[in-house]
Amino acid sequence: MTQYTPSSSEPGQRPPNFWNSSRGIASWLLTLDHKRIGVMYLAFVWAAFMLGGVFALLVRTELLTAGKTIVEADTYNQLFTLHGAVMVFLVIIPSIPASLGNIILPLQLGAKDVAFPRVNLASFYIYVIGALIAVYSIFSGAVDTGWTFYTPYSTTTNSSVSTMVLAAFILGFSSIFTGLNFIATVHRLRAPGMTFFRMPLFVWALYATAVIQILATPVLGITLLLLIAERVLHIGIFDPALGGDPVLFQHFFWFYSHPAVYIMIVPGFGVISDLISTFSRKAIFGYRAIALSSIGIAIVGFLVWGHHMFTSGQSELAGMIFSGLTFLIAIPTAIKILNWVATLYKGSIVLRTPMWYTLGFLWLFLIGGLTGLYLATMSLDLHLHDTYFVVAHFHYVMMGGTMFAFIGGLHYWWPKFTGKMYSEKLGNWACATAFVGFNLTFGSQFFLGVAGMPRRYYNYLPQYEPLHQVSTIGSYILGLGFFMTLICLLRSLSNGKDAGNNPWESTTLEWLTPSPPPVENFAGQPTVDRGPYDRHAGSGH
Amino acid sequence: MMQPNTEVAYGLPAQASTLAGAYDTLFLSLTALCLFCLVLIAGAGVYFVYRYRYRGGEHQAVEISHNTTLEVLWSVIPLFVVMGLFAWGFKNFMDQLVPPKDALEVRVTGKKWKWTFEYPNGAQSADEMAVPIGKPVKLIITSNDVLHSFFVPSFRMKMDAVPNKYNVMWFQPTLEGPQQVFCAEYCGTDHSVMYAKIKVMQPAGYQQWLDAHAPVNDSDPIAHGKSLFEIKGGCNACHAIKSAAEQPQPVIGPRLHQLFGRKEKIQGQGELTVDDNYLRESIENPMAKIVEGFAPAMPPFKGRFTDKELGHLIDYIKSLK
Repeated sequence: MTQYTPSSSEPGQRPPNFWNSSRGIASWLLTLDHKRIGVMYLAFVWAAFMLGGVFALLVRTELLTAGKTIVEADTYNQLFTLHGAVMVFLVIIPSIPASLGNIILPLQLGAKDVAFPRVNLASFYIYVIGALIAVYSIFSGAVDTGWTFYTPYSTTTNSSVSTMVLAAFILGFSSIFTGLNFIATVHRLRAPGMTFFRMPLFVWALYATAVIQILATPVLGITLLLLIAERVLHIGIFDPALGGDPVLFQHFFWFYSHPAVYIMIVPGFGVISDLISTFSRKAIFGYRAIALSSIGIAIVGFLVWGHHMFTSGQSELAGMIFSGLTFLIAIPTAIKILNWVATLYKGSIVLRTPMWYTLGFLWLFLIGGLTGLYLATMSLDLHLHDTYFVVAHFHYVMMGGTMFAFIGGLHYWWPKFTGKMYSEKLGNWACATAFVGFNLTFGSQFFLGVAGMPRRYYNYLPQYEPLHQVSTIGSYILGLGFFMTLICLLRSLSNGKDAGNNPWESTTLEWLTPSPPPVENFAGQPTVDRGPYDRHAGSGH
Repeated sequence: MMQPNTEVAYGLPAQASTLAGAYDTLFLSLTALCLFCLVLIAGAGVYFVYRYRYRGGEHQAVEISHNTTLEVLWSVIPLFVVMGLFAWGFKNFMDQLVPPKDALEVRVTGKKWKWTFEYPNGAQSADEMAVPIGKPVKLIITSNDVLHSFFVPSFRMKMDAVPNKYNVMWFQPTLEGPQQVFCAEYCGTDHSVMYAKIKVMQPAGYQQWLDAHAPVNDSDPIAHGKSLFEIKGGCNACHAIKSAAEQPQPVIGPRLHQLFGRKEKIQGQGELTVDDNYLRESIENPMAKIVEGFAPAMPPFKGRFTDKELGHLIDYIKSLK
């Protein structure tokens, strides 16, 4: 049976934990504790999320009417670029791994910390520097290229492309450092008895993500450096006027950015696997299938980048191979969804806020996944490419998938790392509001795309106005939902009830230690002799 | 041939080409498949949540760790389905991409923020092209500056315009009347109004249109300059040629009405009087002198016009009084 003896403490008195063990700003800024680093990441990710959210609401407000609503075309072009760049590089990529992953991964492994605590702190500071440069670029002539930085537009426009690209380049290192740390931690610091197939699926997902992070991110770094070299030194690489090839940039960019889609979503798969098992009060259905399908997605995900370029004039043969491989990715993805739904079967389903987010995730990700089939079908992509259909599809996956998993996981682990219980009522209302707002905002955009509405449009033809208005109203509801979430979580810090060690009757190791955990995570070394979701093998503690 | 569907059906635009029908069949078949999967999976989820929700007391969950038969089934069946979808999509894709040999060839050039067209007989036009109904047309698409994408929703087709490269797109129109063209690849300030129309016409009307768009020869400098201004240069995308009262837009570049001889304030260089040399420099190397109040947004046109063409272009600008 899994063994762990918590240290005893005086009743009624808060035992020492990672929040109160040392005090002062310096004890946070110089901390090597993975939990504190995770909390700092969490604060920055939420700040960036609000910034990106404001950009999104400004974009949606501008689109309320067919002509000018609030800003000029050039400002609009900057707003959607900043929205995309902030959300991708500052929010979604670090969201689950760097915040929840940092806090939870060592706890789930029964480890004292990550393998390289100093590298972990360095990754945080690199993130902060990258974020500050990105914010600086907004004030030094905001970038207007779209977050994809397509050449030759990006090498010829006068906005501060080099600054924003430098920020993305620096942020890449933060991502690589976190990935390296997680791989080393998983290999070296598992508790005695924790084999790979006794690791929680959240750890599996972070591991698969880390592999993609360290293999793909350097390619982005090189690409962005080449872009800066072209802008600053006028070396012809991508700009045809200098003898370069703009489609080469697309190859380089998507060679990173398609795997990056999995950097964004695979950690969400891990969160959902843990949550759906916990709130069904039973082991996950098809543990190995889910674990290995993450690895499958991580590998095949490297070989599909050309599906972003079916209309770029790339060879039909290349397009055919990319389309075929893209369809193959549908299989491990379907395996996951079906195993999650099967886990519900004959469960004892407890409908708490994290579970509502999980169910919301399943609906949104299912739609996001199915609409991916349209875009993988080469013929259908010729009409749908670069329309709102694509915008809706990737928001259903990235925002509906990743952000619902992130916020669901945040509610789930919040009692563990803060020691406080949030308000279930407000949590449920926030989740419902965000869910309704989300489907209005992006559901309407599928129809816009099918009707031919191109993306990144400041003006549009009057026939598209009604659906745009539905989408804009939906975005306000969605924004309200996330705002309620933030209030719900922050309020719990002052007036939340004490959570206790294991409020959800979870089975993974992090719930054996007190909430919030002590600096060293566990008073002694836990040992493991059963699967992560095994409720019945032994009495445990 | 099936009668084209002119109504907007299931949210899709009207069908205006021979291949739009095949596209919609595939689209609607996949939609039916997706709705089936959505109802099946989401329905199972909702049913399970309702049926097995915790109602207080002891938890009654039944442990079922896995089922290999089920795992194999729900891996293999979707695999066959998506491979079928892949093959169908690829077949249609090749039909959409490979033009018939006898197609009418038209050169299409995208530039910020204008589409221009050139016909085999030399006819030229900007922002609209005409094609005869029922005849296959092959577009040879390129760009003069950044990426653009030629998107015709009613033909269910788009193709990127890439500088220094020719991409091919073809269609056989079946529906008379103007078809909307969008630019689908982000290209800056006026990306969202970089529209064009494809006028699908009866043969007689098409011939008339071609005659009306015959190339302007260079015997009349001002008429020739006007053609260069509007089509080859696409200058009117950014520069207004009349007074602000008569033509409020566009104002991306300086207004050319009564420009010659006027005094212009140049950023960081003081005032100058507009003459032939200033106009030539501003066309070939616009970054050299930026007029106060304007962004340095114009691409250089050096090498794009012959000396004679430059002269005629300047003559035309002088004529804007």
